[in-house]
Amino acid sequence: MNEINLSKSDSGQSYCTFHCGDVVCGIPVEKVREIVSNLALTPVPRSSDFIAGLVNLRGQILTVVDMMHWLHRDRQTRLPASRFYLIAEVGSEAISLQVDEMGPVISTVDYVLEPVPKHMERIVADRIQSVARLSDQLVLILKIEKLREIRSLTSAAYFSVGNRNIDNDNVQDVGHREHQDIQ
Amino acid sequence: MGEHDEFIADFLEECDENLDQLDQELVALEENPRDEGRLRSIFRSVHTIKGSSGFFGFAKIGSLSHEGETLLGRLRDGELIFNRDIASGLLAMSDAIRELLSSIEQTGLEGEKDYSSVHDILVALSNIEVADPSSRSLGEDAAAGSETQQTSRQADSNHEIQPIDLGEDAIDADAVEVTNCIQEAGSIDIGGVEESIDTSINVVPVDADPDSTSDEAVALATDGQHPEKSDERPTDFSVENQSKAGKQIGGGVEPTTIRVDVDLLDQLMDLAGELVLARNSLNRCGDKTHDPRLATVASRISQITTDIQDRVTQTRMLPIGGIWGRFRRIVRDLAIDCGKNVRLELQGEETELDRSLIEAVKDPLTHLIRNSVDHGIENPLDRISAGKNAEGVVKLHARHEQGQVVIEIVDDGAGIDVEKILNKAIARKLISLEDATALSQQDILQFIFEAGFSTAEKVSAISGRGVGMDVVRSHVEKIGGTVQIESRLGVGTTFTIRLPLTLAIVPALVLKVSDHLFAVPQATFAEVVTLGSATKVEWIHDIPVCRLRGQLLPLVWLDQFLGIQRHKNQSDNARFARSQNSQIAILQVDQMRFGLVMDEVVSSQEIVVKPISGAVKAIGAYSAATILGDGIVALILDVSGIARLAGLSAEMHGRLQESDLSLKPGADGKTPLDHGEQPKGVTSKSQEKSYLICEVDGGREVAIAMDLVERLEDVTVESLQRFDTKYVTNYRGKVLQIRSLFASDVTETSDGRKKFAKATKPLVICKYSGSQFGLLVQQILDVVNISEEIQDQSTSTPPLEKESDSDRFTLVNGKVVEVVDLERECHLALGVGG
Repeated sequence: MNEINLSKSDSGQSYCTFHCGDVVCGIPVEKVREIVSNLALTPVPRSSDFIAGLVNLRGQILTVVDMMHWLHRDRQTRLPASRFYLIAEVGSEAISLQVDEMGPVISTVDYVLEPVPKHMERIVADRIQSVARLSDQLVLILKIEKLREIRSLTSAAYFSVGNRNIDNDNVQDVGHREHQDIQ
Repeated sequence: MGEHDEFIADFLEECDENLDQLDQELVALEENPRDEGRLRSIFRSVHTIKGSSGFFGFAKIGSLSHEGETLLGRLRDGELIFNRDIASGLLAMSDAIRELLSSIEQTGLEGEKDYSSVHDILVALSNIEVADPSSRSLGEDAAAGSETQQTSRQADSNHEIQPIDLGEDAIDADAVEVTNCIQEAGSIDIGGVEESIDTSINVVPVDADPDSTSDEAVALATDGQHPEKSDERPTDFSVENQSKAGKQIGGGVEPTTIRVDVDLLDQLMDLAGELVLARNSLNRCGDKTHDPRLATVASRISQITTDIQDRVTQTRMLPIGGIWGRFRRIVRDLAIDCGKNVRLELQGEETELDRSLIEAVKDPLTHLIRNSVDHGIENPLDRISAGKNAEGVVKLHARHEQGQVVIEIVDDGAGIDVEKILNKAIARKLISLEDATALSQQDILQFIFEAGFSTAEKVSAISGRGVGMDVVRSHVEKIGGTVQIESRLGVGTTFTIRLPLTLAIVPALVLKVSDHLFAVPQATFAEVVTLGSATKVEWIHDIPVCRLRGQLLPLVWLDQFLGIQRHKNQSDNARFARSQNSQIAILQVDQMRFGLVMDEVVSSQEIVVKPISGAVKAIGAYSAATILGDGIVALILDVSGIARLAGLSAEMHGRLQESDLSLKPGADGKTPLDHGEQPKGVTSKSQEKSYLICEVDGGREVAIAMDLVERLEDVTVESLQRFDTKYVTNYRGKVLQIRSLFASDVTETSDGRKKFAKATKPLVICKYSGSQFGLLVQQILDVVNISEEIQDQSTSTPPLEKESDSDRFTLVNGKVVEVVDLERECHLALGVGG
């Protein structure tokens, strides 16, 4: 078995799971402040694609991260009507994760932790702590503190001569910057 | 000591405040050693520290403050004269106590560190005999003073031996007693009364020194019985107390206040914000239902909400002077250490900003001030040989500007050597040699903010390790501010910190673009004009502009700028037609105006500024967010950020330079509004040439060939420096040479005085054969197309390479207009050739 040594803090850890497209993810249950649906999302133009927008949670404005995008999942695999907001405590900040569907909370008896598979895309692998193997599925345990590293970019200036296609620039820049951040 | 923990927390906090006040007042006293009121206030601070430390059994603090008090007592009694040594000794005591306090905070104990040297210095200072008793400043006071002091000593010694544990009732009674005494003493000395009240309040909560409270009352009563004394107090002190009471500025007297937990204030602030939102919703309902009763109630609630919001905002506002006091000490100590003469000038101490911002900006400011003294200001000898006053000046200037708080740190020191920085940057491989040539001075100065960047040859104790400026920037940016740097070699350096008013409630306009709503602070808003027949889009080079009362303003289309997709079924033509009915919000920021093209202004309302995450903030286009009446989040546009991102700045200028040679005005395919149907009368046709018609003095009008005009700016006359027949100014970090088209000097009147220093004049920035220069005019009137034979001779060359002067005139609407010979002006401005 590929069982890895579990550090003290990992053993006995319960994870809150959720679906993002075709994958199931989990974050430590004590990091989850609450789960909300039906929030009005205000998009943030010019922002990185990770940022789905902003929501108003009882007077507090939270940044919503599009988890599909964060995990580099193809948009086409997204389930319809995905509107769950999982409010997570990341450091001192509250960040809202936009996910497709909530799953059960899994505890030690349910899973076996395994290391992140080597074949994974590096950017994505870097955002995953480990993989929890359940009897019938795998759950990606996320390093949610990596959510704080999301940077937006200042895309090409509006008056840049002969270079008007802001949208394209954005897309290219995202990938580019992301690599820089990680390296 | 477990049961005392919360008392100790109070004690630490109180001592900390007392020490801060002590530092400020000592430095202030050094400047004005005869300020008896201050001396008394210092004495009281030390006395309080001593009393409370005795209560908790902190022997080291007790002993240090005891010696300090003895020294101060002799000063107060006029037995000693305050001087720099004494100030240093007392400041050393303050530092030592601070260290002890931090040790107590961490470990609960005073620690092992030995402070006997500080102790000895204080003792030695107290034992110096004054040679000339006639120089006593407070002779008349001596008797009363020493009497008070004796009483207090007695009280203290009792106190140290036998800590008195009085119940709350007893303390209350004490406070009443104090008040009674004060009332008996009458109102002869308002300053004194306030101080005493203040002291009693400071003392009571920690349950530390009830005896000294009554002792103060005794002292006060004694004061009251000697009315002649109060007459002798320096009047400025009393006046200061009265006028600044409640503001906590430098006067050393805290107002009669109560302490409120900051968390509570934060919650109150949030609730007030929620109330504003609820009110906005209510107003919307009221508008819909048309019920007059609801309207009445809504308007009443609206009024109350506004008031509450005002007051709550006020509770969080502190004058920045509160943290400036400590800078006097920092500058003083540093100047002594470096062997420099430095004067700190403070301006705008009353500028209020949110307390959390004050806290956050304290460290960056401290760092910048240290830098200014250590690196900026030269040694006195160097200064004299550079023809400067031996005493260097560091100015700290705060003000509110366009909904922002602006803090400037200005020194008149050596300035920053841009060459040196560039070399260092190249050496550290921050930039390649080739790229380096393209950098403006402003760009180069930015390297200072890189981590680990230092040009100091040797590392001093104070600074030079290259740690810090990056931290300064990150700290300021963390609270949504910006740091700018300007420096002129040999003249000095200016750091400008701009802070937003986060956590505040600001009036704003809500704009609509497509389906998106954005808020823009009213502070940046000049006006709204409708794009239509009266206001057209024109093009200068590749830049869309509109003309507003003779002023040309660059335009930014908000939807394109933000990459907002319009509905797909809108064809380009429809979109253009829509654009024709758009509105332009004229925004003003950083002394620059531009037009933001959007669909419409939806409403004008007060919005609660809510912080946004760093990821959203880093986009640069949004400063914060708010919640509209219906609960929807709307982003607040960062107007200066948009201007920057849109390239209405040095960047744009650079791009224009690149494109200048290849592009002509109205060139196809390169414009944001590329719809093949250019607005009428906008661009020049091939046979015509556009001229910018400007007025100069005496009603003369001149024409400047538009294709050589790069930008139009407003400059303040103040910012111009005259050299012979031309001027120079700092234009975005570069030296821009300027020719005035005026017959007379614009900066000075005939009697040599500066005139209209604050007035702005339009500056036409031109580019001729690769060189940039400015032309100063009185007013920009119009852009006209002139189709004349003279231009046939000069299709590709600058206009009118004249054989004679007469060629340089043309007719515009029947009026004779002089055509500016840009080649000649360029040469005159740049000092090349004829």
